[in-house]
Amino acid sequence: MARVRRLAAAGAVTAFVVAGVSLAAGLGPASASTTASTMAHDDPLVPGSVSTCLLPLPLLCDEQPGDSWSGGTPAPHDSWSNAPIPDDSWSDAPKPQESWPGPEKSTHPWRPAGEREHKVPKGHPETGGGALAEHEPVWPFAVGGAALLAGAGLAGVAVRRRRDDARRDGSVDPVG
Amino acid sequence: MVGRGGLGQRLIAGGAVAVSLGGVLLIGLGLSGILGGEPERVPAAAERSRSARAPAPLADVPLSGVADPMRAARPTAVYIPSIGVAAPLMELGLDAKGAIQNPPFDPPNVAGWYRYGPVPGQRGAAVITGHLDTRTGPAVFARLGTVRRGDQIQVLRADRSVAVFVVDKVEHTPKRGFPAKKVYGKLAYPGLRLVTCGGTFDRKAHSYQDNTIVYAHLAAPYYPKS
Repeated sequence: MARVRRLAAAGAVTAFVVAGVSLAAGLGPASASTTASTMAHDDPLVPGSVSTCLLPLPLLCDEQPGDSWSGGTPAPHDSWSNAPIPDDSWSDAPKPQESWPGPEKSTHPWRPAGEREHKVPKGHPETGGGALAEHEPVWPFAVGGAALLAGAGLAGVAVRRRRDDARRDGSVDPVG
Repeated sequence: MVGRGGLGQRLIAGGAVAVSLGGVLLIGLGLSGILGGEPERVPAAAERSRSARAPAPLADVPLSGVADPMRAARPTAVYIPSIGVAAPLMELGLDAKGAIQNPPFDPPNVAGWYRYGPVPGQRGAAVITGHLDTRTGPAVFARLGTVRRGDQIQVLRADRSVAVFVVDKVEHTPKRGFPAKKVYGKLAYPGLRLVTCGGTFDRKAHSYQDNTIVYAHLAAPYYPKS
């Protein structure tokens, strides 16, 4: 009987330890996906993710090597706050659509949709991929796993003290 | 009569049970999603550097007055100085189901204007949509939800004119109740609606549950000197 009890206690402790270790081990890779560094790619096309000016529109750029701005027009480092003053001319500015991914080239001249062509789309825009969605929190699993480990340790201590006390009282079969 | 040893054992056993139950409870709460903080939605580094890239708001733009409609010209870029947006525009039509097409995920810094509606600057409600994020990172309208009333939205057009809009309000609405009439409906003045996703992300449907909609009116048209 005592052997059965010991086996059961050892099994419980083993289960606690395995559960705790496996939960705590999950901390590393899961938390990495929520760090800011993962989200802050150096992707030049993500607004504000890098400090350099990557949009080819000279009105926005601090530096535009090889730009064709000439005298009498806003300097490349000018901001938009100066550009649209009625006396200024934007005529020398390269057309943004030449270097940006713009609408497909068409042989037909562009024209706006007439009022009769206006349509209300069905449904709603789907404009998200989920990268900024909330990730499942990791800390409850880590703390919970640590608590399970601590519980296993305490259970082990309790079992051992009980066994020692029982042995001292002579109620445990020494052969086991 | 319980001895000191017996009491100590019981205390230790009780502690073991309590700690273990606490651990199980924490794991359960973690699984149910009750515990956990709001993630950092936009990288802090991006927040710091945005002012270096964003165009400045134009001065002397009236907040309340509505400007007369502009002549039609193809919109080519959108700028929102307050949140550092500077993005080219592409045309969006309708898909086979009659829903508005979406800009591509790649490149992420592209927005689209709805072709079967008024052009930004014309009388009526022009619509520009952009992704909140891609599957791997933030996209052009990642910060659209932080736009405030009075902020400027500038739309550059192919004739080099700039339609300067001022934000009237920002709305977060469930996709199930998307206010199509308010967004696409007829307006007596030149208006603009920016639309992106928001709210909670439904991982099963792989879709955000809400839309963020920015309503704006044309405050000042700028034409280049000819």
